[in-house]
Amino acid sequence: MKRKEEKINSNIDKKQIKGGIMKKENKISKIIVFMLLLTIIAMILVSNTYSKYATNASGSDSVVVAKWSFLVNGEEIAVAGDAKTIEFGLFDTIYDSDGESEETDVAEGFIAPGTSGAFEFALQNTSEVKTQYGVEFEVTNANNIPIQYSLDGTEWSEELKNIDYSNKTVLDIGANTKTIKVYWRWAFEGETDNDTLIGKTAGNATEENEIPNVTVKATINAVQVENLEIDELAEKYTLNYYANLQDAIEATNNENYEESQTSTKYEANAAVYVDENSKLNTILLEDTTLTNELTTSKDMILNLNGKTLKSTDAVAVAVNSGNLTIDGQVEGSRILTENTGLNTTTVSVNAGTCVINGGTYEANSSGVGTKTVANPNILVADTASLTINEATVISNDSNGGTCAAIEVKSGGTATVTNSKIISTSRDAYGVDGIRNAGTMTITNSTVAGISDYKANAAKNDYAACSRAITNEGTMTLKNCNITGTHSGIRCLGTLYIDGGTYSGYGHGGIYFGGDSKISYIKNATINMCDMPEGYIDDGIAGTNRAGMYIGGASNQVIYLNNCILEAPYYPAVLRSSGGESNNALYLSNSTAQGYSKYFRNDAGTTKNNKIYIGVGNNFDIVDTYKEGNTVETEEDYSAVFPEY
Amino acid sequence: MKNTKTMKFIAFALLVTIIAIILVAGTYAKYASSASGTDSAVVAKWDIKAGPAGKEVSITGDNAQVAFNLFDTILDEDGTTEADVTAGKIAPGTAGVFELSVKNDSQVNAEYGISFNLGQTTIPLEFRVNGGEWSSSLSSVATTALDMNTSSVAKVEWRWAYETADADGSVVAGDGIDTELGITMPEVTVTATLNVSQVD
Repeated sequence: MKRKEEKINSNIDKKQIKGGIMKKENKISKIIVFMLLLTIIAMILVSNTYSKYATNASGSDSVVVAKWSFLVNGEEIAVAGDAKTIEFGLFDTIYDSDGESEETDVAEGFIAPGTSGAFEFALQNTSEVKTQYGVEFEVTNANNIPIQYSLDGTEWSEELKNIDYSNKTVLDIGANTKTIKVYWRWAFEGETDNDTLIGKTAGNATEENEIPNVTVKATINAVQVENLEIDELAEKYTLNYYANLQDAIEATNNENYEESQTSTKYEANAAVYVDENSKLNTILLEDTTLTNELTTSKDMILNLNGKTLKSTDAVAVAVNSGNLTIDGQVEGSRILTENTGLNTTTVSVNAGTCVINGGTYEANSSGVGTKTVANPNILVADTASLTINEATVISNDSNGGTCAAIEVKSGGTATVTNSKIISTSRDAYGVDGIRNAGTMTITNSTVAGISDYKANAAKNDYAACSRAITNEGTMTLKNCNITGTHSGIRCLGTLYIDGGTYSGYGHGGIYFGGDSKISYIKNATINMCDMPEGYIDDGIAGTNRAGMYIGGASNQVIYLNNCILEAPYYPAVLRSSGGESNNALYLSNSTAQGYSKYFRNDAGTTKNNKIYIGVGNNFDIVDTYKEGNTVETEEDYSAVFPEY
Repeated sequence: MKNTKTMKFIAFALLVTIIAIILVAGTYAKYASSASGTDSAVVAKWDIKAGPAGKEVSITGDNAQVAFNLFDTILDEDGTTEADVTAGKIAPGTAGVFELSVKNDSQVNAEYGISFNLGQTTIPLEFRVNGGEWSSSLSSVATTALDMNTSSVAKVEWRWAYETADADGSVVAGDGIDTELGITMPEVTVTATLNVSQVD
């Protein structure tokens, strides 16, 4: 009941308020509806993020720049701004001429003949990077005071040579201090007059700046280095370091090469390692001068590594057995010999084999060699073999000596490809680019033998002359460029030619003078050329004005096919004035051009020298000169050529 | 009166709608079929790992730390061992690389991006991200899909050229700048921020 009453009351209350309160209630409802709508919309809008996982993380790393610091005499030169100036007291201490004793004969602080001195400076790399230094010296010596300098106390020069960047100027991180000592001296027994003049100038000076003086400025440069070749090599191979090349080669010549070393990485002149093909390699690390012949007797590779190997001995490198490969492929690689009164041979292959890949091989002599005994730059002995690829071989005699860039002895063999072989000597008799008595094949190469062309009474011969090639053995030439002042080739042996140009001045492109020899030439140009610029023809020796010359021997047979003969007068000459007979020249598919097409075929006494004119030529029997025996045939002589 | 009733009805309907939305919110994002029966569901796992390849660790929550060892291995410019500079230091001719591996061991697909902050530095470092162009700034790794049970590697390379020119192309001046840095020995810090989120 109570409940019912309450309900009735309640109903009454509701009715009572319906009129006045209804409006307010309606507003509240509207607000609620609006908020609910907003809520729904917001829920829809953000529903995506409500359903997503997300994470973020961060990390960082830091690093510090390596320190750059270099000390000279304990003073830091790695400073910001201008270069640091340091005290360089080269003339602070003046000694007697022995470099040790106190100088008591000259006023203190002055130099005079018989004084000397030295100065040391210490370099230290205190950086956190590997460093290389160089030192540039600048000498000011207006009165030419004859001061000599040395960096080792033994080799003296009036020039104070700079210390260039090299392996030897590398200072590793934490390396010990490097001390450089500069010596100077004024020789007591020099040129007295000049010394006296300098002394007088000092005596006459009225102002301090008029007194002769010498100033030496040293500039030390330190630079961070990366990826030094030696370091990279050391990463790849186990290197053994040697103070000089001689030590390295001697070590490798041991029957069982034992790893040994006489130097350290940045002090070494050479290093030895075994490569991935188990080959023994010796690599030159610095320009080197040898005073004794370097002899190899095992299979090994000598890598010149862009450096110069100079020898003051007669022979730089001798191969006595085994195979030596000389790798000169890095630009600047060079073997050099320079001697006065001695033979100058860069490579002597006495036995075994030698392969030269790249590089320059230069022999400079003075009055060495004779007409019959050449001074060869590269020598191949009777049981030896040589291969040259892409190299330059140069011989030069400055005093009429008869040099040869390459000499192959009888029994020896040589192959030359893509190379340049040059021999020069002024006023010399018998210079050869190549002198071959063995077996040679030359391909795509240039060969020259150049000298003046003139009478030489002193040597009791009619001409100073030279040939690119003197061939007494068997030689095959393919696509070569040959030039000589006596003749391109003087052939006393057998010749096989395919392609190329063969030029000579005195006796034309090829001089055939070998008894009973046979030669084959195809696809080649043979001509008489001008004298090389700067060389002399005195007009006494005379020339044949011929493209090629057959004489000085009998029973020779020469086949030409598809060739060009070019000369001012005669495409070819067959001489008989020396008693030559039975020489035969066979020609087909060839062209004669120049001043005339007339071949000179000397009749001689037997008329047995013959020219056989086959098919395809631009000349015929009427183009022969004099009464020699000339035969016109229907032969194509290409058919008789062997394979080569 | 009628309005009041209507409003009440609307409010009631909206309340029911909200409750329904809350109750069925999960079904809005997927296909749904009605069927009778009982089933239960477990929430998909969210597990992202990051770090050097092979050494990834879980990163949870915001602002987690991840190993970003950009300068741990300092190499020569050509990628070989650096033997000319003290270990742990950089100098002209040094270089390095770091590969940040991000692994999604979750049960949902995700995507990630990496932004970098290269602190103030005058060191002429260059950077390259994922084999792009070398630049003096570090470009972000764009948003990249990272499906469940997959991983992705972001490769960041840096280098300091052995020989650099200054802004005017002068190598000598460039050497001067490098030398100055060798004397002052500044430090450089690179921060990487990795953001990973679920994708729908």
